Amino acid sequence: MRKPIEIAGVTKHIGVPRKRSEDPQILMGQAKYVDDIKLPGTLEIAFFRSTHAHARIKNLQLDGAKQHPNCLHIFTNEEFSAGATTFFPNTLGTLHPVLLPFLAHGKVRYVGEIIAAVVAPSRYIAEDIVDLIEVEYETLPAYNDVEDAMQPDATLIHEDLESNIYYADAFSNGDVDKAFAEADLVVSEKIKTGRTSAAPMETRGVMATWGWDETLTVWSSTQMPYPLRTSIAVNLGVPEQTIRVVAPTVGGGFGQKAHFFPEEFILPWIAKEIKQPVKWIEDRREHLLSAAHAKQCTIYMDIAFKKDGTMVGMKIKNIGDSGAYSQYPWSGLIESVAANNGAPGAFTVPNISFETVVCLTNKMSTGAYRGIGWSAGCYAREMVMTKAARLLNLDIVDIYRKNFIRHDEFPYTTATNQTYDSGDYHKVLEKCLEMSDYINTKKQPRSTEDGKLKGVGVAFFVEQTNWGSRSAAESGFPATMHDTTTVEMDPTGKVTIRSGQFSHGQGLKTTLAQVAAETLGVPFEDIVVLDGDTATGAYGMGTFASRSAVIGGGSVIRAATDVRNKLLTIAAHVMEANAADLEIDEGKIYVKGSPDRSMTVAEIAYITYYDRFARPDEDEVEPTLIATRHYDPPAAYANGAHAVHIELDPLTGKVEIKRVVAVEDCGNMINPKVVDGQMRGGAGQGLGMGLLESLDYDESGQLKNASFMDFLIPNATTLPDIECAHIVTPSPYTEGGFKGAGEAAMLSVHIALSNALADALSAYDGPLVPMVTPIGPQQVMDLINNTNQPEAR
Amino acid sequence: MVDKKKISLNVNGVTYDKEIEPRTLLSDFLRHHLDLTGTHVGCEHGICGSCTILMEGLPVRSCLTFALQAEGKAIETIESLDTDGELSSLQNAFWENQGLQCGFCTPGILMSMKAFLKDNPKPSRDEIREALSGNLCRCTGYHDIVDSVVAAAEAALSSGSAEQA
Amino acid sequence: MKPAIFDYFRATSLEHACELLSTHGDDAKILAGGQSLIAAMNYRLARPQVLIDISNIDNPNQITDETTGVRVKATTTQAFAEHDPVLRRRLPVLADAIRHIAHFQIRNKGTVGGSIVNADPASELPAMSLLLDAEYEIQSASNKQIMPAEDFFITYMTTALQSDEVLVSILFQEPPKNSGWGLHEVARRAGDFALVGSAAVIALDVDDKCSYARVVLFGVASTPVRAKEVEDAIVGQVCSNKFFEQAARKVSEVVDAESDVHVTDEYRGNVAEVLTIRALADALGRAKAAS
Repeated sequence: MRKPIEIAGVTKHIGVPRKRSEDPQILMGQAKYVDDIKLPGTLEIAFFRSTHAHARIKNLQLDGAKQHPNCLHIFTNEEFSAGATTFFPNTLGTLHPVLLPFLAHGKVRYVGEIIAAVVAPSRYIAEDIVDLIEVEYETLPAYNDVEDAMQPDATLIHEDLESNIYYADAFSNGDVDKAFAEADLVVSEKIKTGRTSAAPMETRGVMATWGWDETLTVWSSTQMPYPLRTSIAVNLGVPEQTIRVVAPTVGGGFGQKAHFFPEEFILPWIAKEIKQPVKWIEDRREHLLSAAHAKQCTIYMDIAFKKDGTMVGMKIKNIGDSGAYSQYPWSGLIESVAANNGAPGAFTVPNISFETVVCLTNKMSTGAYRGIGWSAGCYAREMVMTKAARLLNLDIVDIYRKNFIRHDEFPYTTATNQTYDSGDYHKVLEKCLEMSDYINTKKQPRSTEDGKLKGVGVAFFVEQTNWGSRSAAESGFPATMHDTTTVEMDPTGKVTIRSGQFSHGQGLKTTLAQVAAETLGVPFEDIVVLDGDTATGAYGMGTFASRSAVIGGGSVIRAATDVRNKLLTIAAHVMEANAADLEIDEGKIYVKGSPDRSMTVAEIAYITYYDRFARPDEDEVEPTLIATRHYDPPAAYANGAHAVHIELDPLTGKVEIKRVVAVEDCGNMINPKVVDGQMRGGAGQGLGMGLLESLDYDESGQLKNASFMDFLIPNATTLPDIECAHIVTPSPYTEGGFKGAGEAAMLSVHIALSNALADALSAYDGPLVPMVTPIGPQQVMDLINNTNQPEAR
Repeated sequence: MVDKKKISLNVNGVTYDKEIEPRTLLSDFLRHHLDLTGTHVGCEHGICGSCTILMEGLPVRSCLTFALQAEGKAIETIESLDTDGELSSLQNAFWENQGLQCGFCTPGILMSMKAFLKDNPKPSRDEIREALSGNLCRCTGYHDIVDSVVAAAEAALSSGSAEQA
Repeated sequence: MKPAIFDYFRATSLEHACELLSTHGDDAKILAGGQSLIAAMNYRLARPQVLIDISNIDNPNQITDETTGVRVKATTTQAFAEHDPVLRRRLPVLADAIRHIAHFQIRNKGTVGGSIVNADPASELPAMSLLLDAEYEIQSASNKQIMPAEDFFITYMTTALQSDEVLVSILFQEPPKNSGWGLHEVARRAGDFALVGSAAVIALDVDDKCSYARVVLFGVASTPVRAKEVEDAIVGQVCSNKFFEQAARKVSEVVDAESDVHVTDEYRGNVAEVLTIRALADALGRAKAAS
């Protein structure tokens, strides 16, 4: 592997918190999201969705609906029978393929599953027509809890499988039994994490049109335009080169929009079928019912300790609740397999065994959401550690310090065979403790004058970032996953970056331009980043899994370096100098030490395109200033810590978050302000996950809170200021020394919150440590009253 | 079938005459009948706040208003804030302080804050959070939005004008 | 979601509204602020075939000082009421309660009457109506009547209002001079519906004994409820926080809660007691300060 380009500290463009170039258009209301794009003659689609969680479809009556004067078309699986199977070869255990029909085929498996698509002149009318569709259901037993669906006598949700469990694996390293036998303390807990939704402010939406030239254009609020294009080609049998996918401005994704959804195939198919543009904009109820859910796992976590807090062994069983299907494309493994492969976290624990089970239930399927399975997996590990700390009369900080991988031990391969590149965990932890005044706070009384209880909690995380082929493999998902970027300079010396990455809030139009400006030596303002449109970008997997800074930035560095080198070769010829003696800065190419011997980048670019007598011979030097390079980096592991101060009302269970501290080490940063934004947004979602968010299904599989009225995400009074600090240990392996930064808080802040709760309750008989998320008022009172806990082990 | 009704609405100082189904929500009227797509729809049950516009200077949910209810009342949307592409002081404060990421919630926040700052020119951070509580944001964690509003308030005070937005 | 089809009439006067209601009866609903109704219509949970818009009838916002209390026209927005100086001076508990309703964007359009007729048992205005002995002025094409609030709320989202009747105004009666008030609710986020709420008003006589008590709970039954047993336990007694702890136990007589995605019925019962103690304590503090 070639040695990556090193960037030392803050440079002219890197490490600069410049404001984002994409913002003015957004601030003026001019940015176009998918529902803002208008094509004349667009028809709208509403879906007839299942109201039962598990049932055979008997007698679907469309006649009444078809008689509506404005009913243009109704489509079902009869007309469009395509579906998809997620299949990762080479997973540790056998992954049985689970078929997802895009339109329900004979039976429905969760409330919200699409049965029919209605095409009408407006969404209002389409819904009127949906109201006229009638259907009889033959209901089947619906499974809400994985442990019920797993039973051998459970009704099969997919009748072509032998069980509702479609994946199981087991792994062991070291001598786990011996470690447990020799331990001073073993803590065994069952942890149940709640189900939530990424719930971006913009719901999903798809628009499709079939052109006169037999090309298909699809707009989707997606994080993965290129892979979606390929997938549409495969699933619809349309030649890929005739398909254009456009992700316009996207209003948040968080991993939820990094899937392929049935609607993203149904709409293009309909457009091609009826040769008219069609649009579907998801409403919030549909969103909460049928956009990928996340985070719900049942985890049996056993950790063996020595009395000084050393962790000697871990035994884990992680049961993933896959919902009714295996979410396309990542599969239902995305939670549990990732969690188990990252189980040791920041710690040197040498003996570990894990079992993974992924099981179907009659709920919306579970997919990727910021932090994937690590949110639940880390929570389970850390709550057991917190409990152990109390039983051993230690603080969690003592256990951290005892078990951390040390600064001089990197690169470090963990007991689950993940190789962490770099970090200084002790330093990060100290920074967090200092900023949050943790040690002093712990010495103070917990009760306040007005009968409340105070608490402080800290949590540390290691986050696997830049999900390329190697990271994915180390997390249990062997697959090929690189991106490409094209850097192109035009005759006027301006630069276009065509990216396979795509921003849905991360400011990539700014950060990738910063990287390009640094590499090329041209002014930031001379660079434009094109992302999101497969007609003008470059093939890439998209933006998710904290990969854009590294993979996007890295491929920009490589391609821009090629262009830079070409420019210098041509300039050297024109200026009669040695290429090695030339510098480029702010668009000027000059001889080192003789700044008056210079030409502009624009002049050299113009010569390259238009002056064949001035440029070098075209047989020796290609007269082009364009380069496309891939990047598929080794895994880079970011790390950090959170501290949370709370005040608790022990009579109502209401928790108020008083302070949040976030420390992050994501290696070199392209734009620290953008990183702060990720840290704060991530903390917001993490605290929402920890305190408020729970999608609750009843016994018959009905989602009880499919609206923002009762599915609660943080508002501005839920969260305090989020105080941020950065530690920088560059990755020795990645271009620029960057590491990813997006998911961090989802591996940690909800843990700090629960630790704060445990601390606030430290005077009670216990120790009282929550083994569920979220910790709403009911769960807090349950903990205090010792009722309704996951079964004791 | 119900007859369409004629409607005359004043939006951003311009009067528009259209014919619509009575059930047309103001949010849809603005976005699809007037092509003013800056106002966004996030939930259609009045909670997320993305659709917030000003009606007679007061922030209201355009998703919980029928277009017909808005007749005779001056409507202002996000498109009214900038002057020929030059950002207002409020918008600029958000740009300087990264008070947005994906931008979907931003129009509703800007309209709410325009009204809020007019009545509260010197708000504390807690008062700002209280005022923001009716606008949900999933990307920022709110901190940078609060910074932006503080900056906007300071800019308005130092330039001596109460209505700078 | 989008609302189902309806026909729309703009009432030019109260009489006009009543006429339209008579004509369309069960098919029609009154539209004032629409903050509850339109949300329900957007979910197609409510599908009135006719909407009668009363929000533009002469001066929709009107608050008047009357002898026994403050009269609020039903079409008055919650925001207008919240900021009205008369209401704030004479009925501070009501002003405080209104500030808890959702967010200011909703209150700018939602009306006092609309929230009352919506009759969500967890909402503040029905509870305040019971607390302040409100009287509702109700009109139809053929009849006018004054109904006490305690007769108005039947069950969840259901009132005694007939399909041809409209709520015209609400008289909130002022509690005795020098009384003190308290209002506590538990909500998961600012602006959310209360999981449980308790409001109290107390007045003291010259011997510092309680001469008047009102305790109302919301979010604990299918309507807001007056905790008469708690009131009876307090009136005539010397008050203290300790005493309230005992008296508040009697909330169990009126709590008939349900479990939902947030909390169980048991939680509601327990916390109703806790909040009642706090509301009473605040009311006592304010009563003492007033005398």
